[in-house]
Amino acid sequence: MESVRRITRVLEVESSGAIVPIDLSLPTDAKECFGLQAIVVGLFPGVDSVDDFGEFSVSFNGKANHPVHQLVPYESAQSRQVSTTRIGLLPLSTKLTSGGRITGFYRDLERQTEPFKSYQVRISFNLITE
Amino acid sequence: MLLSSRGVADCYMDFFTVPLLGAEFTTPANRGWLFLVSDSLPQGLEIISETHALKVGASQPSSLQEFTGQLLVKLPEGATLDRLDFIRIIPTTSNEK
Repeated sequence: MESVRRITRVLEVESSGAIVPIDLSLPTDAKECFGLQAIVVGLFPGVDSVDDFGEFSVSFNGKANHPVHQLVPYESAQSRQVSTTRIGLLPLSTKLTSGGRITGFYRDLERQTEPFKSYQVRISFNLITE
Repeated sequence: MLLSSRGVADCYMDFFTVPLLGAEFTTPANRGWLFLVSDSLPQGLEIISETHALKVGASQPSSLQEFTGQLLVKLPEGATLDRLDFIRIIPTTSNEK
């Protein structure tokens, strides 16, 4: 029986301009990834909302499929309070092979002012499993 | 194995050299895979591509470094590296149906 599952992985970004590798596996019963979302977790008082806080790239099935390479935005607390929309889910339709690795990277684009404050990036995969 | 597992039946292969003429250098976009063969990389060197990004630390990378598409190369201050060499592979036919 098919079901829908959301898997989240957290990346730690500890320096300005850091490159954080992504290397993970998804549950073996995952058949398809139909959505992906990357969100910066943290508040940076000196930073306005920006579309290019970081960039991330993700390949599926041992680098056989590379559907995503995009910017990761940051929404300031002030914007978040008045905003009526939330950072959306990127729709995908990527078939997954059992045991295939997910690889890629996240890169900080140095949008914070000094001193640098460590933060997390939460990457969520929406999966169809059976 | 590396290529067949990605559905590549045949490919074009050559050496690809990136001359480093400044602190930052961007290559033209292409659809090939680039496997880094240069060694003695300076600490702080960054090579960023569409699928993989490398920042050289205190030690040299221990595994095969594979990049795809367009590259952005950032040289650290004071580095004397003048070129980067890659093996470039461009798929010509695939097994995918």
